[in-house]
Amino acid sequence: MSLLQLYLLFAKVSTLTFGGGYAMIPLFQDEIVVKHAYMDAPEFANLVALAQVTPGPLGLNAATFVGMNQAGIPGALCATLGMVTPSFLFTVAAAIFLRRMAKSKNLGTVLSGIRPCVLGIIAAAVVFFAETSVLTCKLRELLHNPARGICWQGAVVFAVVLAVQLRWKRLNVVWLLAISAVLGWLLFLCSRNC
Amino acid sequence: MLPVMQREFVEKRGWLTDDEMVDVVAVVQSLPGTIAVNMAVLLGYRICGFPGAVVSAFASVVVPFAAIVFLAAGRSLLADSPTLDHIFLGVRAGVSALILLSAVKLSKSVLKKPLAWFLGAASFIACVIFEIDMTLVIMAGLAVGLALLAVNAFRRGVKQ
Repeated sequence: MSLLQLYLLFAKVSTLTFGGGYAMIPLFQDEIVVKHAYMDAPEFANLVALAQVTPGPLGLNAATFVGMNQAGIPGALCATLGMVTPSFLFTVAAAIFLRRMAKSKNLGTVLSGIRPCVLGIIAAAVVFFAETSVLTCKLRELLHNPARGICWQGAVVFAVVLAVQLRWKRLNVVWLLAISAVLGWLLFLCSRNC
Repeated sequence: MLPVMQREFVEKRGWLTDDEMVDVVAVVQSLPGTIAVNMAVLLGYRICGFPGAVVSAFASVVVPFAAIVFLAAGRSLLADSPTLDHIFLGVRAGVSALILLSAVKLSKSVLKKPLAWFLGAASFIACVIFEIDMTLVIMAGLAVGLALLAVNAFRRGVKQ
C-alpha cells in the first residue's frame, strides 16, 4: 500500500465515522481486511486489542498501528495525518459557527438517521471479532452446522469478560484484556493436559 | 475524559464558561472523526484561533503516536508461538465482549424510535449476512437523515 493510499484510506474512514473509536473499528476492518486484504482477520483483531491498551483514542491508535505495520514510521505518520485532516477541517468549520451548531435541530435530525446504522455496524463488528476467537468459522456457516464452529476456550473468555464488566462497571479496559489473555492461556494449557 | 477537561478548562483556567463547554461537547460528538482530536481542535480554536487549533491537533496525536510506534517496534521482537496464539485468542474474545458491551450501551441512547430499530437491524443484517460495503451503510444512514430533514421542512411549510 503506498503512503498516499494509506493517507486517503484513513481520511475516508475518519470522515465516515460518527461516534468515535468503536464506530471506526468496523470501517477499518471493512477496508483493510475485507476489501483490500492488507491483513488477515485475526491479525487485524490483535492489532485492535493492542491499540486498546495503548494510551490515546482507540481509532487513532489503530490507524497509526496499521500505518506502522504497512509502511513503517512514514506509514504511521501518513495514517495519523489522514485521521486528523478531516477532524481538523470539520471542527474548525464547526468552531466558527459553534453557537448555531449547538442549538441546531437539523444536525440532530440528520444524525438520527446515521446513528442507528453506526450501531448496526458496531454490532456487526462483534460478530467479526467473535469469528476470530469464539467461533471457528463464519457465523453464516455456523447456522448450517451449529456443533462444529465454536471454540469453547474463546466462548468462556467472552462470557467471563461480559460477566466481570457487568459486575464491576468501572474496571479498566487494560485489566479486562489482561484477564482475557491469562484466561485464554490457562484454558488452552488445561485442555492440552487433560 | 470529559470531567478532566471540564475541571482543567472551565474551573482551573477559566478559558471557557460552563455554557460554552456544554456547546463544545454537544458539537464535538456530532462531528465525524476522532472525538478526542475534535475536542482538542475545537478548544484550541476557541482559546487561540487558528494557530491554537493547529497546535492542539498536533498535541493530541503526538503521545499516542509515540506510544504506538514504540509498541509496534517491541511487538516484532515477540516470536510467533502457539502460546502467544492462545493468549491473543483470549484477548480477541475479550475484545468481542467489550465491543458488544459498548454496542449495548450505545443502543440505549440510539434505539428510541421504531425507525432507529429498523435501521440498526437492517445495517447489521446487511453487514453480517450480505457483507455489504460498510461505507454504503453509513451513506444510506446519511441519506435517511437528510430525507427526514426534508420531510420536517415540508411539514413546516404545510403548516404555514
